[in-house]
Amino acid sequence: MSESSSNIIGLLKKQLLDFKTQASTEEVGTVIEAGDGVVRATGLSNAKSAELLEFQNGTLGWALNLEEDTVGAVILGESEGIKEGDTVKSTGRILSVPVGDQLIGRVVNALGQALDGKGAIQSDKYYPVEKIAPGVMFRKSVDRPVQTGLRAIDAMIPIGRGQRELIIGDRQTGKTAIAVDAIINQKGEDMICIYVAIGQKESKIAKIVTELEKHGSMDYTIIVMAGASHPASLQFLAPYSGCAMAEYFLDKGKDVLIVYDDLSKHANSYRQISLLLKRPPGREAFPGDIFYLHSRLLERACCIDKQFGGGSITALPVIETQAGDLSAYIPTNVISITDGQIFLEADLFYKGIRPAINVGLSVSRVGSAAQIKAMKKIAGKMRLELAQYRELAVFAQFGSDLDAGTKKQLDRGARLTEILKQGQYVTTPVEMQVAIIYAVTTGLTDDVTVDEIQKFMEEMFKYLKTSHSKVMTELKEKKELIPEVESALKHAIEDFKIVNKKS
Amino acid sequence: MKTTPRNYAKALAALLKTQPVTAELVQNFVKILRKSHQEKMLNRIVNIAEQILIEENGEIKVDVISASEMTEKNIADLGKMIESATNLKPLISYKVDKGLKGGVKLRVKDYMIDASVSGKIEMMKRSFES
Repeated sequence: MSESSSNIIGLLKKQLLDFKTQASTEEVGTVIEAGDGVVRATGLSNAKSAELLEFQNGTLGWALNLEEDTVGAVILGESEGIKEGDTVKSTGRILSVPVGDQLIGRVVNALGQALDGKGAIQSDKYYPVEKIAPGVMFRKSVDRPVQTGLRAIDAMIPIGRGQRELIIGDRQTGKTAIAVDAIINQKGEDMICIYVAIGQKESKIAKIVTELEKHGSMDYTIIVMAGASHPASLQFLAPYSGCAMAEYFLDKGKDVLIVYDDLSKHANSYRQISLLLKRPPGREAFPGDIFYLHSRLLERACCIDKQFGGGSITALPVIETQAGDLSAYIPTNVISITDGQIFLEADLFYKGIRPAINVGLSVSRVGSAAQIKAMKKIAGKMRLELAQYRELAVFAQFGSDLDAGTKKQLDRGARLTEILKQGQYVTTPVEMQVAIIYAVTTGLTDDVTVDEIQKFMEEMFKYLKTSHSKVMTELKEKKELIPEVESALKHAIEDFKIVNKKS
Repeated sequence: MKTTPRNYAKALAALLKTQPVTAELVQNFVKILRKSHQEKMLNRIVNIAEQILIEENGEIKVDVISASEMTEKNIADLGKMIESATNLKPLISYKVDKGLKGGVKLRVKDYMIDASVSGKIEMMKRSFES
């Protein structure tokens, strides 16, 4: 017999000898009502709020309603196999999910169980799904950017590490596309990404996973899935599980980007559970604590001070509006919680402006604190020019005789609008964004027509990457448009214009 | 304010202490429940009332699940053990569940005391897994 197998046998013998055979005592109750994913049980007189319960068939439940004689619990899984008269026991534990590096690259459900067929998740560390957000003294202000790779966002609605930026818009306006592009652009940025899919079609999630794998993004991404076919309890739990997984990395001083797609479906699942638990319905039949549902989740996104370990969790919650109504109940709740919103409009989408961001209604409350100095220098001018363009464009529709200055401004604005259009899964590094915005705002592209500016931009990116890589590397490292870098960049763009004209 | 099942049960228990169960009593009670649309709670109310009466009589309900048939002596010995531990007279009901493999399980109010072989195997399994 080999040494390793005799060691194993020795360990097993020791465990058997150490095993205590006294009777166990458990607190139990009896199921009196079961159905629609919720259960009512009598007994369990010492059950605590949010305690984990275990049913006779091994399914877990979550005690949410503690009443005089009964406990209302949601079933964390399928409700088949749970019937009236079954015994349910208290576990004495709060709900926790497995966390750790082994989750990276995996698709898991809201309980941290693998769904991708690549084997069970083995973890010795568990984090509670419900946790109080870090206090004021542990936090620091947001001062480092999250580069989404989307020119419109990085220039005008910049997101910082530790910020909560809402992505809001009607259906099919590109909300998920923005979130996925942001994840793709985190390659090489030392960021762990978590995509929490709540109530989404599983075909859509499969497509997202495929795209992320294609771009190599699954090497740093975790997908937490509670699809449309999953019970409401798992859809309700999913964002908190994702946040718990993010907090593991935060505690190690790492930066995390977490996307909650989407919180409208999350609110709907909580409404369903609350109504089934017979909690009193409020406005739009949502329970009274619907605001707290989202506020306690989003407050866990933070930027931690270096003396407490550093690290950050940046949250990108997604909300779907109906007919562009920003004043509805759930949208207004989440807008008031987050540090800004990116508002997507269907009209802009159909006009071909994609991403369909309404710059006027979108805001980032962190602002230029989340931008590199180079971008801060040029983005302010761009924002102003775009605002002037929008005003002038309205008058230009009626007037036919425009002076040269107005025409020039209109053309400049049209060019800026064109360069902000971007294809899906095509992200732009920040140094290239600085280059093109600099080129347009300083008039270097005034001789390029609006129709040709997109092609000009693509060719310029290729040229700068190959022929002036040193300038771009310097810009990327220094993150500032100091005079030498600015003149080198100007020179590079002028060189490109000459080459472009010849070809 | 809605009357809870426990309040109905307390009222029913108080009533049953002073008078016997008659058809008229049952009919009137059901009428009251129907009036407040709580007839579905009847089972629960009766169970709670039974519990209250048992406690007030200085008794305790014990459900015994055994892996094999128990003799009268076994039941009596078990009853004495429970009485000495709780100072309450046990009302024992038992059923056989061969799935326990051996030993017994006792359900007393909200507690389950598991002294069965299957329970110990389960504990051992969890101990190895951890």
